[in-house]
Amino acid sequence: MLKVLQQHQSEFACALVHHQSTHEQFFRKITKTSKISPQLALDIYRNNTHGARLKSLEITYPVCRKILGNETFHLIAQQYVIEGTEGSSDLNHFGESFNLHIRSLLAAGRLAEEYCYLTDLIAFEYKMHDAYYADTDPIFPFKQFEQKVDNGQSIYFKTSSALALIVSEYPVYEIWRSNKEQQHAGEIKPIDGKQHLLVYRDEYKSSIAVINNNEYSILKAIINNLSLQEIINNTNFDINNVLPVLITNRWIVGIK
Amino acid sequence: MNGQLAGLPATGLSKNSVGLGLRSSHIDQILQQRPEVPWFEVLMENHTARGGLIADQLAAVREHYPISLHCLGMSIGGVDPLNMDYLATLKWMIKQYQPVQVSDHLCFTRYGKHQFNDLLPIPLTTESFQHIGSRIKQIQDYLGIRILIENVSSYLQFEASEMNEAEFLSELVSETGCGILLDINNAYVNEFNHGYSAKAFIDTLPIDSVGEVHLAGYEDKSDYLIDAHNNRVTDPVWALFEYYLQYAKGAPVLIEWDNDIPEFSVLLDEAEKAERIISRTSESRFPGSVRTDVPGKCATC
Repeated sequence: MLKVLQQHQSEFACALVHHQSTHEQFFRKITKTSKISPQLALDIYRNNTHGARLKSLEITYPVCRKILGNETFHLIAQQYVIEGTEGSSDLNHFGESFNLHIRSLLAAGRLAEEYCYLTDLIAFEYKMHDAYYADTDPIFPFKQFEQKVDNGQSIYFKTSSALALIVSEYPVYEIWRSNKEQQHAGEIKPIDGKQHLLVYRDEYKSSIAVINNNEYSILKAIINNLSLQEIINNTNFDINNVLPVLITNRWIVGIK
Repeated sequence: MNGQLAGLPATGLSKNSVGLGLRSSHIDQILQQRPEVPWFEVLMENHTARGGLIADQLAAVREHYPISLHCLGMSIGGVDPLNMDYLATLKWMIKQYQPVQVSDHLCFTRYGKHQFNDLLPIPLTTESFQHIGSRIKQIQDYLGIRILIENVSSYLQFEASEMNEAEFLSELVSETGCGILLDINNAYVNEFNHGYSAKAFIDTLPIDSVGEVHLAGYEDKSDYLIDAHNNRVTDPVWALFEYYLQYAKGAPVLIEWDNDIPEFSVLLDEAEKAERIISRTSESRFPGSVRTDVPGKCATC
């Protein structure tokens, strides 16, 4: 039973997470001889922790930052950073749920309605960021595929580890591109229906393809673990022309 | 594997060789120009990707240079169970990149569901010692190597502590067979902030167990110092390094720079300065030992 260590860490963690409370009990455990007061020490640790997370958000969301402007972005990010102590030790994944934070701000009316597209844009930026760190994919096993077809076996495809699908009612890709490429945005027209985007990695670079509804639905079905036979039997899908494209583009990379 | 560790192979680095922290903004230059740097230290957390540019670049660097892996997230002092996913990634990286050393810090970084991206100090008690000793043994068993534990800079100390950090580290070495990563900047920052002697800290450490040395720059807040790794090494830290070198057994030395990263040439410049100090200290410790220009005659005879 780790009585002292447990108690110290519990109170230390609590003091770091809860900014508004007083932490007298924890402060009594700190040696007073230091040049640094307990409150200052706590502020230094908070600042270090928050600084690393804020930097991670800046790296992950450059377009969101550009759209909102530095000041607003930092105000919004700061709140996410303070509340977001849970999760992975990997700072690359720290901003994974930043879109939900934006959604809650929009829902609460704390972010102007004109930014309604930001939730989707942020999800898209995260997928672009994440694709960069994805594993290397294998080469599609054509021989194994042929054998399974010849033997009448069920075939379940595996998609690229970098692949992600985004569907949005907003022209997310156009908004992202116009800001990313630092060109004048010009007029970005609303889209009719939904935009389907596919994020993948082209060797080292995260890339985007605007795909049609059929391609999106088939890839979604593959991700949801439908077999090739099930996809063929579904009259909503037209896989004949799509499958070669998916394999050639290395969006499908294997068979499970 | 208590006691008899398989251990990493000998580093193969020459005595006191001065390496640099590998930072992504410098990698292209390093691969193109292949500067004469004896080794690079890699922050494990920045290179866990198993594919893409990051993995390929590190593999390319490893082809030409020895590397050490420096970790931030083992949470060796934490009370939560060891994060086996994290350790599995580290084990994969050890297999993949064959580092000459692996290190982490005497601190905790996680509590329950909360993950703190900082090195948080612990009370240095017998209870903590038993707990941490056991965790280091588990980690070394799992990884199949000896790890180095680094002294941290701290902004608070605990009333409950029963020993100082140097005593704690020395006992850990005896108990677990781990090595020490001596961060001289951290020792100086702690001296300034807490008022204890950094020289006494170095004197207390089992110098034979120092497997690596870190030098870095701090941020001066006038009343206190922050271990920011965003500056050149300062004069008091160079002086402390020189003090350490009087007793040094040849552990590799690293110039660490993590924030506001400068041009690569600045790091090379800092490394050259460290080498000049090493050379000067070596000359005063072993006068004439570097002279080999008189065939058949020892320079000191």
